[in-house]
Amino acid sequence: MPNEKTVAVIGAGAAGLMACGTLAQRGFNVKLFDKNNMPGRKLRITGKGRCNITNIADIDEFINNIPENARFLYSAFSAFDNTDIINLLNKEGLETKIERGGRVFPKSDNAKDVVDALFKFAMRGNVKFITHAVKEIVAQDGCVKGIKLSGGTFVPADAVIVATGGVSYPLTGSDGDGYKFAKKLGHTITDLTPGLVPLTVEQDWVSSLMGLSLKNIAITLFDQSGKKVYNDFGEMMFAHFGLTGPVILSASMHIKSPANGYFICVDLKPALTQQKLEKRLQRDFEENINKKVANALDGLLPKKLIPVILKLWGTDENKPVHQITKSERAKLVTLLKNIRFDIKDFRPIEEAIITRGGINTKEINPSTMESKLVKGLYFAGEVLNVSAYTGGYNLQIAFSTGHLAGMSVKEGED
Amino acid sequence: MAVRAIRGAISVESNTKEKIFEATNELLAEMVKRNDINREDMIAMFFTMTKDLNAYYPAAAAREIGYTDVPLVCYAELEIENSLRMCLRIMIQVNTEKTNAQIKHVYLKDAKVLRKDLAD
Ligand SMILES: Cc1cc2nc3c(=O)[nH]c(=O)nc-3n(C[C@H](O)[C@H](O)[C@H](O)COP(=O)(O)OP(=O)(O)OC[C@H]3O[C@@H](n4cnc5c(N)ncnc54)[C@H](O)[C@@H]3O)c2cc1C
Repeated sequence: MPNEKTVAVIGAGAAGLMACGTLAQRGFNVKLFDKNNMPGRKLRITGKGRCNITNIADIDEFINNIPENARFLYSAFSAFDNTDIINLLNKEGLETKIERGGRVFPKSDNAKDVVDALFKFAMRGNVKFITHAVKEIVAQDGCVKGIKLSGGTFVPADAVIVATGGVSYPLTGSDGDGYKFAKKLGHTITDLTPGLVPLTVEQDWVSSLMGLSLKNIAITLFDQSGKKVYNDFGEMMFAHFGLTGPVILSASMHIKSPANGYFICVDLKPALTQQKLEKRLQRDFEENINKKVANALDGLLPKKLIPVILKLWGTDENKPVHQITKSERAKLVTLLKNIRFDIKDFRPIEEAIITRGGINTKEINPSTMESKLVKGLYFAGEVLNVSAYTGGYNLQIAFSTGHLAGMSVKEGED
Repeated sequence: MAVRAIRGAISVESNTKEKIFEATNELLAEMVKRNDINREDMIAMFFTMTKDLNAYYPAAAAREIGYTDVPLVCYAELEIENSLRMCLRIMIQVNTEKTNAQIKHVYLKDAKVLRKDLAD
């Protein structure tokens, strides 16, 4: 049923497109604003261009994967969950598939197809996609009145949904305007820090390993007091500044700012116990008894890593294997299972996958996404103070909160 | 402050309300962005379309975007032989400190051919 009300949705990302389509289905006039001349600029680069849409995990698993403010999201998830977004996209003609760890991707492995399907959904109805940047939200006596475009043109609206995303990867258009709008209207913004972000380390020799990727390693993260705070198993990579890759990004979510003083121990051989690794080394050494030690490690370690290991071990690369003592060998075993990296800092927030912190969720009604301070003002997506690990959880948060905001805008007077 | 004019043009994919809205939106957004125009400094906007476009007023599209308090007017473009078809043209008059040389005129899509000297 059409109705007379106009809703302005700011941001044509995951949350904004979802809110827009939901409102259009309910018969609203919708004006969807984005500063880019195309929708879903960030969505297009998600999942390395493949877009990890969501995860098939159940609700408990979802909550476990959301370290910040998971409880705030219960209503949003129960209104619209992972099966709902999969069904919606399927209905719009996008085929999906499930990969390792329950991650859902488009069958085409192309994030653009996800944007196209979402945009199709969003534009079905009385919707105008307007490629102007929004400068300000206008409210009067605690009620939303509309928005101002950059340049100052006033656009009246009965409700406004802020879906402007975070501040990470600002070239995508998500550069933190939503926080400014909200702050001006009296909302508080919790500290914005980088999440799922690479880490810089004190050990400057990492730069010699740039580009090297280590699969099937285990990491343990310790805080300043030496307390274990996180462990993970999987893949990491070296960069000129330090460490990156899936397990490092996940670990970064467990580091409170400032990151300095945290350290990570990498176990290069998590499948082998100390004794088994000792045995394996003994065997490798016996087989290569007359070789230089550097050459005897070939089978166990990537070539690029060997010079670094020798240095940390304190052994000359030209030393013949038969001169290695038992205690030297034991020291190597300990090293291979415990390479220490001292964290210097997060990489800048611009390089983070997500922004931690955002609009204080205490000021938002979790069952409607409406502001408790300004009537007719709604928030959805990463602009909120919620954040999750990798695995499709962040996009699901955007879809669920976008849907709930779109469902909650009132049709008539209240 | 002087009165200056900003020109723009864009080709429209098909003669439908949606496509005329999209083209108006895209062109206006670029003209406003590239010239950093403030609403308060806008005097008026003029629109023309070629004869093959008649499904919607571009001025109505501009109003939908939010330009409700700027005088807007539409005219028919001249029908010149072998001229570019399916074309929307806009002129915005503004008060500005800029010189004529600093004004950025915007030609998008197939309409780029109209001002090859400006191509970026
Ligand atoms: C490299 C990378 C890979 C990622 N991969 C995944 C993944 O595979 N799976 C996953 O779940 N998550 C992933 N994420 C996280 C995920 O992309 C975000 O959490 C999600 O996009 C947030 O959605 P959103 O709609 O809240 O904001 P966004 O998608 O950021 O959209 C916000 C939109 O608002 C617009 N906007 C901002 N300010 C204004 C303004 N003033 N006026 C008009 N428009 C404005 C922006 O242009 C932008 O289009 C990834 C992030 C990055 C950076």
